Amino acid sequence: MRTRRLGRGLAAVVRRPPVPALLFVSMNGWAVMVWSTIGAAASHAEFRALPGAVVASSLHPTSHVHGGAATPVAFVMWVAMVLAMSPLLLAREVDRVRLSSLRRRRGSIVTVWLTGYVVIWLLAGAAVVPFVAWLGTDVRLAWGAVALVALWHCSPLRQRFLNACHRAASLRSFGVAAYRDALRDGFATGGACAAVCGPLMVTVLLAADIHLVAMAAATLALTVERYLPARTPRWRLPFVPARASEWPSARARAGLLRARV
Amino acid sequence: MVRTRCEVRSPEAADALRWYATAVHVMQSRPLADRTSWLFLAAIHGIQPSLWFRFGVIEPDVAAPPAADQRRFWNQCQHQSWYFLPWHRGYLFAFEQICREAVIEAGGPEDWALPYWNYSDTTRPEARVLPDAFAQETLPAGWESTALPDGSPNPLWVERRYGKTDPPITIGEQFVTLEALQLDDFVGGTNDIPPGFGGPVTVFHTGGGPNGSLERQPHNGVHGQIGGSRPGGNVNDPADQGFMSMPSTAGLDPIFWLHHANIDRLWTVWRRTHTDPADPRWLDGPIPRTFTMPAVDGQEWTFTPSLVLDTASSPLDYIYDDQAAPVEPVFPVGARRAERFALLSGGPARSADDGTPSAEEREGGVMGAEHAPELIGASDSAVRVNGETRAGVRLDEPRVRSLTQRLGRAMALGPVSEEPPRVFLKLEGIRGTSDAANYLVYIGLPTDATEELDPDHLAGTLSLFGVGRASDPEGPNAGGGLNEVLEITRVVDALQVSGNDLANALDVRFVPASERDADADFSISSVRVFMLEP
Ligand SMILES: [Cu+2]
Repeated sequence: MRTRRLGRGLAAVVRRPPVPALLFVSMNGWAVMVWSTIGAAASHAEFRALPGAVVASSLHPTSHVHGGAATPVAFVMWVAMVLAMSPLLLAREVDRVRLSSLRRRRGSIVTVWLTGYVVIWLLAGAAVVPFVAWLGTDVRLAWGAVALVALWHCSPLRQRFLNACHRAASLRSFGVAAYRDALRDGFATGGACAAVCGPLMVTVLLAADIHLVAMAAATLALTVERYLPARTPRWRLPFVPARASEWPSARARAGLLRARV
Repeated sequence: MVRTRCEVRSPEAADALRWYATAVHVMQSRPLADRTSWLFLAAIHGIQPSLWFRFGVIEPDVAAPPAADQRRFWNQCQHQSWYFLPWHRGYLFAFEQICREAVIEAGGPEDWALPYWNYSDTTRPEARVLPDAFAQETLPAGWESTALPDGSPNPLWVERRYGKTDPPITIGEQFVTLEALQLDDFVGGTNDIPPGFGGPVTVFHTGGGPNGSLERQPHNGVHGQIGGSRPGGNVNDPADQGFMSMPSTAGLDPIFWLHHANIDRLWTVWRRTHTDPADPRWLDGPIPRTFTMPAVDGQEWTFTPSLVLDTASSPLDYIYDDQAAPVEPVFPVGARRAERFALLSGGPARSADDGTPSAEEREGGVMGAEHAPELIGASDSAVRVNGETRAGVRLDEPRVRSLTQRLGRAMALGPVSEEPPRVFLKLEGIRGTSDAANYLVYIGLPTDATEELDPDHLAGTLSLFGVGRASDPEGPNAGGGLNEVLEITRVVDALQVSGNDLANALDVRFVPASERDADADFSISSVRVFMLEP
């Protein structure tokens, strides 16, 4: 009952501008992703032979991202993935940038901001794609990468970047400063987003023929995570609720007791 | 049985107060780990163990409740959120039941109910003074019982309640006005312009961002005015704040519960003429945590806002002795417009332009259809407030010209013309550690105005309850700070009427509400001006 009504709430959110527009952009990203998956599968015979259900088997050392010819495909996939996954996460950000701008400049300021954001992702893609290709050469490397990404998701540093996504900067609104701030904030937001989401997207690329499923799961997890409250950076499993309070250690409390005397 | 919560100074409340003291005493004698103890209940609102140790509220060798209890119950208070009112209602209800149990066990009345403190009653001059029963260090005369013999410390008194005045603690009248009741909608508009009565849409949210109007005032203002900071102490140091000044200690002061009963009553007053959100995310929220309170027997009671809408029916079963609207009028649709035109066209006649809207105004009209706020001014840099501080807000000339033209036309033509846009001041990213601070915000004061600050220029109050936690970069708000939105339509209209057109800058002045507030040191990352088509 509660779930159903919350579902209706979600439906209301989806209908509120600019969400429909962002969803449209996202759909295009998904379309490209599906299209490139089919294309890659067609051009790599071994791809079709892979069993799809088990991640282990799909971490195939000779997936579509190996070698020269496949790299552009992987880059297109990377861009498509960004296009598919980020618009919903950006709803709040674009709102904030729009409302910090004088109306006659809204279009140009948002464009500058998005440029900064996208440039970061393209740079990240340029770095990640050859790396993924290299990881794809050996199944042990691929699994090692997955393990590192899992570790990254438990790390305080990642939580720091995630918290940075929660902390909206104030953008100046007049003169050249407005454009400078928009660009800088686009870079900063793109950077934090890439640090938070990028590594998981690497594993999506590695997941070869089930990467559409992996991508859907990743999108869901990353979107939900973004809308939850910030947490104190520290080592912990993803999605485990934060401790309600920081109870000092027995040692710290003994220290307090001594200080009192 | 429906019980009645009475005003703290009414004759009916005298007995309830005495029993309240007994119950507080009983609950205070229970250990922290007991879900029905005074400390556990306060920790549900907020606890920062290191600060509680430092204050001597708990000893370092205290037995802590199990981690699961801490996780489920503690640090739940909802602030700067549309859950502010329903969460505090459920919280108060759970507290009141546990109190009542203690009252009954001590031989008190079965229909005992928590009193409330109506500090906004302008018909009684003493309404803003802290009730006497809370101000006495030893048990008031005639309150003796077996549990509390003559000469016992008064359970309703706490040392860390400093206020902003010499005793008796008195709340400044600017901090208890009830403009909030005049807001039409529970949830605010885009960018919280206009602000809503109850607060912005959030998930489970312990603070940070913009306030709902009732939370802003009187709620936040009263917290700082009562809690204050230690005289001679540092208003920017959490260790020198009064209990009521910070969310992580507020529940430790017995007056907290009477203050919140009044806020709860004001919600009841508002909803007699307005409607709560119908949004299922609110009714059945929140995520990811649920609202969980201890029942009388220590078991868990979870609730959603939908369960606590009507106080007069089960499970709440209480009413207030006064649920009438205290401000006249609680604006019917259109009254705001009429009042506005009375001010605008009642002023000195001005030469009107020809009345045809300019291209810019037509553009504005199109936007108006969406009711989206439009930025027309912003400070060029962050503002550091430390004592009386002036900040210049740069205004966008073409848009301001269009605004003043429309104001001019409204003045000349009166109510037959289109209503000009409303104007709002937004203080974005308020960060600091001076939770107790209370400031007044003035706009458009003449540069040389130092002595008498003209109340016609008062934009509103600024109270920083919760700012410390909201500014903590490692806290749940990631250090985003607080936001504040003040409607300044009336001030701008008055400026226009008195012949002071808005030029290309607006002077914003922050004035400490008392001497003790003058040392407060906080920053505002941006001061902005928005207009909104009515
Ligand atoms: Cu409160």
